[in-house]
Amino acid sequence: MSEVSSLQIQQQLEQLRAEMTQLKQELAEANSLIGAIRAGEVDALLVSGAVGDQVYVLRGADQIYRVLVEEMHEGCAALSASGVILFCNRNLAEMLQTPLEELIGASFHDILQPVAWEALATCLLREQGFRAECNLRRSDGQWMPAIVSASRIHSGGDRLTCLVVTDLSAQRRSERFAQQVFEQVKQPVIVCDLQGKINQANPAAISVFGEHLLGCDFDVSIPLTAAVDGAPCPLVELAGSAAGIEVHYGQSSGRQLTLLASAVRCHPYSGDELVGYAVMFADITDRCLLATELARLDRLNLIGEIAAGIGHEVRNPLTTVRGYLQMFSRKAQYANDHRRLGLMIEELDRANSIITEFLSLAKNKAVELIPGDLNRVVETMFPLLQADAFRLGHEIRLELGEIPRLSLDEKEMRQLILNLVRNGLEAMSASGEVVIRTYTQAELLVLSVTDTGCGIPDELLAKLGMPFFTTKETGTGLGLSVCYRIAERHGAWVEVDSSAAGTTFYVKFQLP
Amino acid sequence: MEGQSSGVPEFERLAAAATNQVVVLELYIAGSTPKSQRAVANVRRICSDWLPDRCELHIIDIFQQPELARARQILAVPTLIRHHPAPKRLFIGDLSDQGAILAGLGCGQ
Repeated sequence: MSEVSSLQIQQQLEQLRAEMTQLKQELAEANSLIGAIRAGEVDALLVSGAVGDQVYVLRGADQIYRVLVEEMHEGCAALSASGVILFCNRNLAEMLQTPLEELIGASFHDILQPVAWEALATCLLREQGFRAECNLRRSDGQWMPAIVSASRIHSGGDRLTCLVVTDLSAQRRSERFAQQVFEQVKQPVIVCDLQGKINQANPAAISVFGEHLLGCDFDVSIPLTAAVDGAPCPLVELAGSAAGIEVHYGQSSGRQLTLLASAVRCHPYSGDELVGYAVMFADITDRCLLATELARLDRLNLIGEIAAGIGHEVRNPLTTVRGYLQMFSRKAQYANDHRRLGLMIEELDRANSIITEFLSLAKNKAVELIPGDLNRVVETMFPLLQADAFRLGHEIRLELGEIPRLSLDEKEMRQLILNLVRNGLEAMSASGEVVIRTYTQAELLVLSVTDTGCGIPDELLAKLGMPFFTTKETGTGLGLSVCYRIAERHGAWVEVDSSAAGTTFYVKFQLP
Repeated sequence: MEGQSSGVPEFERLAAAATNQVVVLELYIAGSTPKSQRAVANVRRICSDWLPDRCELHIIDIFQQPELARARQILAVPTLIRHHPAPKRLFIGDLSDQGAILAGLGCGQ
């Protein structure tokens, strides 16, 4: 019995020792805590009570928050439940251009636009956060655009509203400036999203592509074809080309434009996020036409210079040879070669006419421009032209309108009309009709020659007027070049309109 | 002799195990108070200098997670608790007395 009792005592003793060790440990920790508080080594206490856990920060410990709030670039304020500003940082005072001491104690009702105040109050009543773009009234009465964020905080039983205000004035100014540039730039600019939906189009774009662009698909609304091969040129292809692509666009009026199009990828924020494309166009239609015209004129000039240089020199020996051939053809000893000699003379005449046409191409050929009646020139030539037409089985008709007198070189004008009419007659296979018209159109006097041939294929239209370009088996390819040159010397120009129903050449003279 | 020979390797194994044990620490702070900031800097230095690759440190802001602090019966911050290895140890203050902290953590200088 005493042995058992001794064992129990021993066990109790061990237990008491363990408890004592535990208590000593806890006492040491408690002392350590008290010592640390006494020595000022802690700066916050956690108190758990019926209302929950609350953190009490000791004096000086909230300094960093004060500095943070004062130094932040946003405006910051605490409002009472009734909307009175209890605290605000210096930045908010500067944004609102109001002295800090006047702002604290003021009512935020008087600063926030009424609609926004109602929305904010509703959110806070429901214990929800609030964030919206609003206008705040400055002390000078001007409205300041801003993002206002608000949240309800509970502090010691009080309900407060914590506000953060971000000034958007600079951003709005910059947006307005960008919008003005966008609207005033003379080149068409279109902004699309990633799917190609058009979000914005400046007035220049609307004038070129039409009004109903917004919300439409770019590729559907603005069908472009590559100038180089006529293949469709979608938005993705434009975005892949850094230098831009020459494209064609047919306006609803039927006018064909040549545009230099390029698409820039839009990354509104830093990083790789791609939000859409800005497509920019430059109208190079006139430039392209001018380049084609210049190339043609250059070639004409070159030919003209060569012609002027050697034409006369070649013509003289030809005249000599022709004279001898004529003489031989009259002699009895060459009676058997009469046909051959005639052929040789005919070929020499052909060579001579080519040289004559060459000389007409000379840029500095002297012309005598005197006031004359173009209708009379046409009427004088009519019998000759009619004979040509009958020979080929065609009809020719005149529709001469009332036109003013014009400074013209009659000889050159005859050449021009003859070349255009002969081209027209030769362009018709079956019995057709050529109509010569004269009329005035705005500030222009127009001479037109229309045939009922099968028209000129598109690919050949651009080559018209190029020296030596011909589709006729026996043509020199100089007739139309001469027409262009004659028109040029009269301050006029040549336009062509061709379809399967026929072709019309217009010579347009500027009226004085 | 036999007992001695088996005792020495066992002692060495235990000693090595003690120095290789992962130390699990929790530091309770109160936002960016000056002492909390210093405590964070000090405990990070201790972990990287004295417990490289074997320290699991969790820093708890009592503003954000007061329930965790209450569960651990934390009264004042900054407080560092060593949870593992046992026994639990508490260090209160900004942990600037590195010698005392290391001695308490059992790292020794």
